[in-house]
Amino acid sequence: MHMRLIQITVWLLCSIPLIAGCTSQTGSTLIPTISTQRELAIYNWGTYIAPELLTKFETQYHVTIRYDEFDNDDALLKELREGTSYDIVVPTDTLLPLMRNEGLLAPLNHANIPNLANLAPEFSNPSYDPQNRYSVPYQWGTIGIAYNIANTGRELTSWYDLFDPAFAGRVGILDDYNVALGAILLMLGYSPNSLNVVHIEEARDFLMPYTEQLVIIGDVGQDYLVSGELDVVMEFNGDIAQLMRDNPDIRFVIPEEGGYIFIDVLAIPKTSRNKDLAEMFINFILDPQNGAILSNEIRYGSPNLASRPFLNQDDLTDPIIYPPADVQKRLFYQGYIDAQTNALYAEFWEAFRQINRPLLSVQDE
Amino acid sequence: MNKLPQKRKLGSIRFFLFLGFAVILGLSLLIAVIGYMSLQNLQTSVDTALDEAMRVRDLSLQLENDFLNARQHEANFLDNWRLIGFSEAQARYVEAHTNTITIAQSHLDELTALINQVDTPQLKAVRPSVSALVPLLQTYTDTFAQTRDAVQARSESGGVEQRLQRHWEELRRYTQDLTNTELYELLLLIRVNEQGYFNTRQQAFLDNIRLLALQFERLAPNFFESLTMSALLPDLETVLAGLTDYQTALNELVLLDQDIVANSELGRDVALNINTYTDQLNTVARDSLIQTRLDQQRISNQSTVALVGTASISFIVGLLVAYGLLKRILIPLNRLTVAAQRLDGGSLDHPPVHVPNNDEFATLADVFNQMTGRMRVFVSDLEQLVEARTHDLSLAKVEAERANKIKSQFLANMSHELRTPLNAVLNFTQFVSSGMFGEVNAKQVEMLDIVVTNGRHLLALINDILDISKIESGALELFIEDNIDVTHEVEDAILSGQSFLNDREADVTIIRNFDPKLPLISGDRRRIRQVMSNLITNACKFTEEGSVTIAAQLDGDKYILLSVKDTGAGIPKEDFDKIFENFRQADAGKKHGGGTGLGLPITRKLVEAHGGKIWLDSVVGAGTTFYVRLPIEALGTI
Repeated sequence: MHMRLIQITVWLLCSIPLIAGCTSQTGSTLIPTISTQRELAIYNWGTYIAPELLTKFETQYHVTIRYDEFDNDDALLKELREGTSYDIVVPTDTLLPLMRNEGLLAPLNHANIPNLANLAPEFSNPSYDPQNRYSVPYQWGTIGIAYNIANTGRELTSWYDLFDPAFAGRVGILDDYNVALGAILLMLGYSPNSLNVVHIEEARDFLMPYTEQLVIIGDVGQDYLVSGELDVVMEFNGDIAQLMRDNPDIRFVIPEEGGYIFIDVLAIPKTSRNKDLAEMFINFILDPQNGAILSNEIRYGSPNLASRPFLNQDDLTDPIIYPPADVQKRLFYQGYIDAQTNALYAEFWEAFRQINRPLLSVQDE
Repeated sequence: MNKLPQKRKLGSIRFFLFLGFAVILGLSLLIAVIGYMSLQNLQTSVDTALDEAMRVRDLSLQLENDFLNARQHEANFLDNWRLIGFSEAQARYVEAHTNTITIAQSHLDELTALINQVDTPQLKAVRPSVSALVPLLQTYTDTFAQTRDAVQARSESGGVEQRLQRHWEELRRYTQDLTNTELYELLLLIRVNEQGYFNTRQQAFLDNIRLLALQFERLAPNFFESLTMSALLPDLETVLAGLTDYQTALNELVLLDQDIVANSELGRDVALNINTYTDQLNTVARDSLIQTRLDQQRISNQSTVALVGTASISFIVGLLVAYGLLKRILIPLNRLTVAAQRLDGGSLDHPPVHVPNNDEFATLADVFNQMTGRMRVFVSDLEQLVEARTHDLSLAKVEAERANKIKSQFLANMSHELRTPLNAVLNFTQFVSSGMFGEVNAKQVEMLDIVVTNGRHLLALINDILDISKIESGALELFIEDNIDVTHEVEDAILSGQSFLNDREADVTIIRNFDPKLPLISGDRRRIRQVMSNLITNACKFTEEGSVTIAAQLDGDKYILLSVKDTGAGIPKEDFDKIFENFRQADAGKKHGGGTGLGLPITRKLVEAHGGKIWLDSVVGAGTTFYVRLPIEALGTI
C-alpha cells in the first residue's frame, strides 16, 4: 500500500499514468460534486487510511471527501509546486523543511486543533517542524526486510541476505535511490545519509553486479510476498504487519546493520481553499478513538498518546510495530542530503536501473 | 423731438433681457463655483488618502527594516555566543534585539492605529494583513526568547554541553590506557563525528556516531569484564552505561541544537511572513497611491469637463435665449421706434412698418400703420386750412400796415401844416401885443398874452404829436455825437424847469448831485436834453413844495445813471405802466391839467432809442424818482 519512494520499471511507468488518469478522472470528474456541500480533498499514500474514517467524517461534518493517492515523495512535491487543489497532504518528515521553506504549506491554526494535546511528547515538538506549526504527525513506521520464511528456509538478519545467490531474482528492492543505496550503505557500515563520495561509490560498486539478483519494485512488496512471486522484499513495517495477521510465514526484520524510521505528517497546502475544513480533519484524526481506528486498520505506529487505550493490545506489544529499545538503537532517520550529493545517489541508482535484468520478471499489474 | 420716453421704455425691456441673461450667466458661474468647491473637497480627501497611503508605505518599510535589524541581531547572537560567551552575547545582541523589537512594536501599533482609521478601500483591504502581523511579531519574539533560553541551557555550567563533555572524558579515561587502541579510536571517531554534526548538522554524522557506538558496544566485552572489582579497569556495565549517558546527552544536545536551529528557521519563516505582509502593505500602499493619484486625475478631468460643459451649455442657452428674445422683441420694437421717430420728425410718407413676428408686435405694427395713415390724411387737411388762413392773414397785415403808414404820414404832414399857421398867429399876436402896430391898452395886452400862451401850448402839443407820430411811423432818427457832457445838457433842462417854478412861484429847491468824474458820452444831444427837460419839468410841475433833486453818476463801466427825484404827490404803483402810454396821465397829471399826455411816452421811446432804460420808484404822498440809464456808447437805433 505505501507506495513510498518508488521509481517503477519502464513498463510500470507506462501503465501507471493510464491507471492514475482513470482514477483521477473517476475521482474528480465523473462523480459530480453536490453544489451546496463543501468538498475536502485529500492526497495520501496508497492504502494509508481506514475508509470508515472518511465516511465518518463526511457524515459528521456534512462534507464530501475527494480522496486521491500518490506513490512517492516526488509526485507530492510536484503536485504542491504546481499549486495543488488538495486540502490535506501527507508528506514524510524529511520533506517538510523543504516544503516549508518553499512556502508550499499553510501554517496551522492551533486553536482549531485542540486534539494536538493528545500527541505523545516526543511528537509534539519535532525537529523537522518545531511546535507543529505546519504539520501534525500522522503515523510512524520503519523500513526493513520482509520475507516468507517458508520459501527462504531460514531467518534473515542482515541486508547482505538480499544478495544471497539462493534468492536470485526473488528479491524486491524499493525504487528509491536514497532508501535503496542507504540500505547498502548501512550494510557496509556507513551512514545511510552518507555524504562521503567514497562510501557512496563503494555502495554502488557493491550493487552493480547484482543485475539479476534484484527486482526493482514499487510499494507493492507485500503483494509479491503473498503471491509468492518474491520471497524477500525491502518493505514498510506496517504493510507487512497487516499481512502477518493472516500469514504466519511472513516475517519482518530490522537488519542488524540498522533500518529506517520515518514519520508521515498531515499538512495543509498553502493553496487550500478549505483550510478550516482541513484543520477540522486533522483534529478529527487526532481524536483518541479515530486515531485508534486508523492505526488498528493500517498497523503503523501511532503518535497519539491518548489513543493507546483503544489500540489493539497485540499491536502495542508487537515488536514490528513498536520496536524494542535495542532495535530502536539501530533505526536511522532519513536526513537532509545536499543537492549535489543527492544527485550522485540518483545517478548511481539510475545506472543500476538501466542494467537491471532480474532472472524472473515480475508482472506488476 | 422728445425721444426720452421711448428710450426709457426700450431700455427697460433691454434691461430685463440682459438681467435674464445675467441671471443665466450667474447660475453658470454658481455651478462653476460649487463645482470648484466640491473639487476642492475632493482634492482634500484625495490628499488625505495620499497622505495615508504614504504613511502606510513608510511604516511598512520601517517595520520591514526593523525585522531585518532584528534578524541581524539574532544572527549575530547565534554566530557569536560560543566565541564571546553567553552573558556577553546577551548584553550585546539580545538587548539590541529587544530594543529593535520594541521599535518594531511601536511601528506596528502606529500602523494598526492608522490602518483602522483609513477610508481608502484599498488600504482598508490590508487590515487583515496588519492584524496578521500582530501575532507574527509575538510569535517571533517568543521564538527568539526560546532560542535564547535554549542557548542559555546549552551554555550554562552544568548544562548539556558540559555534561556531554564530561561523559566523553569518562569514556576516554576508561579506554585511553588500554593496550588495544580500537575502542579509543572509536571514541575519537565519535568525537570527530560529534564536531562534524555540530558544524554541518548533517544527519550522516549522527548516523556514524550511532554506528560507532554499536561497534563500541560489540567490542567492549573484549576489553572489559562484567562486575570486575579491578581498580585499574572499570567493569563492562559502567563503561556501557557511560556510553549510554554520552548518547543520551548527545541526543539532548542535538534536540536542543535542533530547537535552536529550528527556532532560527521559525524566526526566518516568521520574518519571511512578515516580509510578505509588509511587501503586501507596501504594494497596496503604492497601488493605493497610484490609484488615488489616478482617481484624482480622473475626477479632476471629469469635473472639469462637467463644469466646463455645464457652464458652456448654460452660456450658449443663455445666448440663444437672449438672441431669440432680442429678435422677437427688440427688432420689432426697434422698427416701431424708428417709425415713431420718423413720425415725430414729421415724416409721414415712409412705407408702413414691417415686423417679422406674428404676435402682439405684428398687431401693434398694424395699428401703428393705420394710425400713421389716418394722421397723414388729417395732417394734409390741416395744412390746406392753415395755408388758406395764412394767406388771409398776410393780406390783412399788409392792409393794416399800409393804413398805419398813411396815418403817420398824415399826422406828420398835419403837424407841419398846423405849425406854420400857428407860428404866424403867435408871432403876429406878439407883434401886436408889443405895440409894433399901434397903441394897445392893458386890457388888450392881457388878452393878447392869453392868446400867446394858448398858442404856445398848442404848438407844444403839435410838436409832441409830431414826435410820437415820427417815432411810431419809424421816422425818428438820432443824430449821434460824441463827447457829450451830460451835466451841461441837464443844466439846460434845469433852466426850463426853473422857468416853470418861477411862473408858479412855488417854494421848491433845485438840488444838483453830479458825479464830478462823469465821463463824456455819445448820443443825440438834443434828445438827451429833451428827456431830462421832460423829467425835470414834470418834477417841478408836480411838486408844490420841497425839492427836486437831480443826480448823475456812473453805473458800472458802460452806463451812466440819471435820476430826478421830487417830493410831490407820488404815483400809485398801479399807474407805473400807464404813465408811459400815449395820452394817458396819472390822476395827479390830469389834476394839473397841463401837459399833452405824450411827454413820458416820448421820453421812454427816446431813452430806448439810445439803448437805455427808464423806470420809476414812487411813494404816494412822499414823492417820485425817475431813473434813466444811458449807455456811454449809444446804440443809435430804435
